[in-house]
Amino acid sequence: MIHKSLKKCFINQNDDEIVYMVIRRSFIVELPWVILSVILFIAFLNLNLIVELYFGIVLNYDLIYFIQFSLALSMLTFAANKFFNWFYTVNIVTNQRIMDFDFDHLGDKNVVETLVKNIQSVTVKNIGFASFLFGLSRLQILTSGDNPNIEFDYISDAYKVSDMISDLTRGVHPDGSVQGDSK
Amino acid sequence: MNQTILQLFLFALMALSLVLYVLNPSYVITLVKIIFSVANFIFAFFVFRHLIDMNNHYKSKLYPILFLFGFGVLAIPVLVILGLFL
Repeated sequence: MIHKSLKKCFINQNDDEIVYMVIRRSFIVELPWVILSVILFIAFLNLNLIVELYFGIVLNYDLIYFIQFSLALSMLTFAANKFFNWFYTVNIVTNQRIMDFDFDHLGDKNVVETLVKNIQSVTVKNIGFASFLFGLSRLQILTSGDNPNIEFDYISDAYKVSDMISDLTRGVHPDGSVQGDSK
Repeated sequence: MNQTILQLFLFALMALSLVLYVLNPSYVITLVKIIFSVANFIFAFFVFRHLIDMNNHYKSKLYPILFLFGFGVLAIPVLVILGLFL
């Protein structure tokens, strides 16, 4: 009897595939849009007050209030979109393959996967001052032949992930089992 | 091609505004409100559709909460548009 897992972590997950790690880029790199959204949201809601303070013009019109509300709502949608993009841009390490889901802009998606057996080398890179300050790294997974290379950007525990992937390529799994063992 | 369509659309919008202003200046205010609401709705709809598409790839446990939030963002412009005509 074939057991089919009802809850799957990602699309096309095999029944015998175990997810070891779901990695997301650090939220620190998302701070610029968070700050921008908050500032603009407050500014749009108080547009009337700002114009009155700086220019001395009182904009007491129904339409102005409506536009303020509308722009603030746009900022909320913008922030939601950015958050969703961050939340769903993940790298997944399983016992069979490495998946990379990239969602950068509205409607853009880039899904890359490679089998563990095709991995040639794993490189950890620290580039830039922010990377040094917050301990964020880029993990590059080089694969053999025409298989696509995979990059995990701005992750915090790069060496831990690198170690796990290196172990997987040698057939050693995080649960202690070795490929070929019959459990 | 897209630029031409956009230019034609903006020209039609200006012509419509002028006609409405001649008929009754308050109609222009309603038109601006509708334009802003529809633009908000389209933006929120794309974000909501993008959320559903992303969840088809990586299935999150937090999806019900995110879905409700996305739906809330989408519903506000709809309510505003309805409110303009009721």
